[in-house]
Amino acid sequence: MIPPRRGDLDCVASERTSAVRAEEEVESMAPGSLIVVGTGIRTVGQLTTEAIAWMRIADRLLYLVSDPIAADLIMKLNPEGAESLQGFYAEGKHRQQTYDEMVEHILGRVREGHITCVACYGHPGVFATPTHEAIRRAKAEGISARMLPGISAEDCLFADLGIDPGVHGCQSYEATDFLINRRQVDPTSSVILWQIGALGNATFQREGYDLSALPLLVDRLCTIYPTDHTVCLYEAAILYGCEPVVVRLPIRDLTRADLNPVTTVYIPPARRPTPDLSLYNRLLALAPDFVRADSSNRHQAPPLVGTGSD
Amino acid sequence: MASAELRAFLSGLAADPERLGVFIRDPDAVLAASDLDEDDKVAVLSGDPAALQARLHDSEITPFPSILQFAIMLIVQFRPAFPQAFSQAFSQAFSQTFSQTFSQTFSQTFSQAFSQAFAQAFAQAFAQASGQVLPSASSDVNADIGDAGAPADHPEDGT
Repeated sequence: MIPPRRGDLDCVASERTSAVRAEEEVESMAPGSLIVVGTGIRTVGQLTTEAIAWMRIADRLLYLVSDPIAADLIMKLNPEGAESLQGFYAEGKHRQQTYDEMVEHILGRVREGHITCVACYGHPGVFATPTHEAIRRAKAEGISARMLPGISAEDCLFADLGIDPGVHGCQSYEATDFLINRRQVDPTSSVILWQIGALGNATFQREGYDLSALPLLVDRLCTIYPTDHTVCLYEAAILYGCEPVVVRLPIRDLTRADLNPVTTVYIPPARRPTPDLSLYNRLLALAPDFVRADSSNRHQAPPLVGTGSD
Repeated sequence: MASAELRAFLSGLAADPERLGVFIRDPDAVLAASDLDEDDKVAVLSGDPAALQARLHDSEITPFPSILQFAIMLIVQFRPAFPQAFSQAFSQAFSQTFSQTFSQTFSQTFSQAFSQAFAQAFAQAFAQASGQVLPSASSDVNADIGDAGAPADHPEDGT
């Protein structure tokens, strides 16, 4: 069945509201606009109704998605306007060049006067260079451009590993960036390193990446954490009904781990923070309500997770 | 053989929350009512990513990259700070070296030229002024000034 397009939005009640709102926004937009949406990490269940609505009503629907289910859905939602951006990739081609060409292509469609929707897997603005650049340049040209949030791999990680970034804080780095730019981490907070399976690679490789630089990263981590500190390798589930990949191992064993480009490393806090008692007392004096919140002891002794054999 | 019907079935769930809700509540019933073949139904219920991928990716139906290949497509472009760090280090080193060299050369040249010119002018003036009174003194004065104003022999003085 080919789903209806603009003007015939009668699929689902909840979707209808978003679609009507999107339609109204379209009416108020000048010709040629850009909307960037995410399809989630797992298409079944993580697509927002507003993203579906925009994909359906767009004149051009450019997409870069992580699974054939999303691609199938996009082709159904907008059979006339759907166009994959996959062709911009080539073996050994520098990613920056690919992204530049993508951005130019996207803006080309917008400049032609089309309502252009770009759909990317996950959150379209998280670890996604060309989408941000396309929006930035569109706005610089006076073109209406906007991004809608989607469900990112980090969102999946928080849910699957049961981590609340508000408890210990959370630092998040791209692995190569962490290594070469001397990023400083706080071992009392959670740390997430992305794309460890593509460490030190700046080109597209269809069959995976050379990881001979991995020991450099492990050496660096071992200067910050005890070598037996337990970390977690994580891969979000992409397909419905499947479980995420979660592997716990000591930090020193990372070089022997089975990594792929979508593997993420979650590093739990290694020690407790040192409270500033002076500030703590000043806070108590100024904010009596804090006493009640503090009665849970959360601010004084946050639980440690992931240390030792955890 | 993989199934285009399986892709259609799952993408149908993705676009329709009501249908997805029915599937979550009773997957067996929804699958039984679908037109999926038995292998697809088994794959859907297996929870096995490899089995599902095998059913979803069939080059005979459509040349579709594997999920992993897709997943690495939008990989973020890391931004090494090397160019910035390099230019900072270079400009620092350059300015330091330049200022050192310049000050060395300048002071050396200046003091040499100045002392030479000064000595010559002073000697000339002194000789002119005092020549008639102390005709034999000019050579001594010249010699004294020449020794004192010889930074070229002691380049470290100018630094």
